[in-house]
Amino acid sequence: MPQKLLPPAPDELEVSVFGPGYGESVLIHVGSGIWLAIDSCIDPVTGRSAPLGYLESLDIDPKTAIDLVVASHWHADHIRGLHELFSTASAAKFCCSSALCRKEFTALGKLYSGGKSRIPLGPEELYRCLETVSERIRTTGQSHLRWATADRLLWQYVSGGTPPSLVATLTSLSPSDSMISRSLKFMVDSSAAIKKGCVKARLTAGSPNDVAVALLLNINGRKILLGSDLEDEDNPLFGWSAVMSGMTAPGSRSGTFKVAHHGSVSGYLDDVWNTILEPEPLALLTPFRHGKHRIPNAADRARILSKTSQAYISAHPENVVRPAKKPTKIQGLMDGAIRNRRLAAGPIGHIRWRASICNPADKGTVDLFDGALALLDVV
Amino acid sequence: MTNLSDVLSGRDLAGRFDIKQLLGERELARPFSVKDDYLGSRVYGNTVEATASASPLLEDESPFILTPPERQSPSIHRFVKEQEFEGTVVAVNEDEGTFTARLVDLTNNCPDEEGEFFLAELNGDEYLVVPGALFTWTIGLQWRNTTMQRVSDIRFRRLPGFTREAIAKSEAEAEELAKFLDEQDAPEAFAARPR
Repeated sequence: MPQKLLPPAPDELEVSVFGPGYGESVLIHVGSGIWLAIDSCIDPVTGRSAPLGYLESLDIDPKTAIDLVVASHWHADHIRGLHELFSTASAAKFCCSSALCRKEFTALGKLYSGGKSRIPLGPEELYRCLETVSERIRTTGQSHLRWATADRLLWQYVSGGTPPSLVATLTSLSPSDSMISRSLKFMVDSSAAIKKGCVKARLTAGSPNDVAVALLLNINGRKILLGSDLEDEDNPLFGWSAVMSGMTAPGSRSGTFKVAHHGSVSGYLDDVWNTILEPEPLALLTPFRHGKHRIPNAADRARILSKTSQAYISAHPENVVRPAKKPTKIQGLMDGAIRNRRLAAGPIGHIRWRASICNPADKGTVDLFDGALALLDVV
Repeated sequence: MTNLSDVLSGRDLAGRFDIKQLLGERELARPFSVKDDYLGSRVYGNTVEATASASPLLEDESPFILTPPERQSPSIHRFVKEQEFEGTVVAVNEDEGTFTARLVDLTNNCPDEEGEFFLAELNGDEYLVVPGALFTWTIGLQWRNTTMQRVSDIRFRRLPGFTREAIAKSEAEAEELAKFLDEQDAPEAFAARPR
């Protein structure tokens, strides 16, 4: 059997990062067959949620295996396929920022979900997830939703036995109260403008990202920092500075980092690398190719590599993949109207790190699939 | 194939369309859900003659109002769509006189694309080009009198397309969902299901 298709052992930790160039998803095996999914992106080849396809390729039933789905925020590059993932993982609980449940945002999601546009908009995907959450609560009478805010324990697992062989916790580090307040204003203003009839036909990502949920996973003392698209603005009430002012992160030291905001300078805070990450951490990231944006750029890559040589990226940040040609007569007309035509995303690159749960000193193994590469090798 | 939304949106209007062709994709009742004061459309025998004068308000379907074109010639008799993309503006590059767009192929099952278009090609729609704006890019064969030519056409959509009823309904449902979920925040961290 190809190595990629071998599932992790019950006592093996796995962090898989998927990203085709536009899109990001993280799938984590915390041990004992329990999986957590953070965000979703689409495999351009299959059109399906990448983490879902991966689990199925391992012959693992997502219906029972996925215990928790986290929507770190609503942007299209993090949320495509999330409803497919969450609805398939029929026993999973759900977490997102409470700002995303406000009526201004959900009303947009509802409006968008009734449209026929095939351009992914973001709010409608989240709205469908929240509808499914609602159905599960009504059907089972059990809690299926927990809001992610700064310093909040979201999920935990303690195995049987004395002492327990596996203790795992997942804590949200953001968004802070100030971020939530500002994001609500953004949503109210945006939805009012869109409903009133502005030219802009869809809610576009605001900057900085005020709803990004950064997470800290602790598995038997081994810590993993998942940075989502959290940015910083040198204000202790917002972004990474707020995380550093919080109660959870300053006391931790993570050996693995899902680098925030695709390695961009806006997601970088020196204090994060110097204070709450171990020296030479394992850094995992996805690129962001959108329009003329190419993240991480050369300066971003140099900055990350100055902090660690163990950095891996799911796809080349500057690769240009040309689409298939259309029939000659149509192609000729297209060439006259558009230039630099390219695929929005390439193959779904996949970084997979596996390590022993029982031995926290085990550095583990990194496998790179389908175009993922070491950041050092990005030319 | 030309569908009725093309007519309603003003695409290649002011000509006569084969009603059978139009109704191949849409039911007959559809045209009359459009308010006549927003779109002059009349049925003549087995053809539809459509003359757009203002934005059509689709009551129950599209969330968007399509900008009425003012540039069609009255002598376009037929249009056959060969390739269609739905696009969204990613960025406007004013220095270069272009905008970058993401494209979804509506004709074939192909991966999403990106590319740059020239603003000057838009014939008056430039003011609609802002990040987030949606448009359609259609390539097809157009018959004008006895002349056939292959044309490329970019048309921007704009809001408001949400009717007051749709907004009110969505807000009511959204508020109900938000209110319900607001009370469902789990009081304690989730405990993993035992394996």
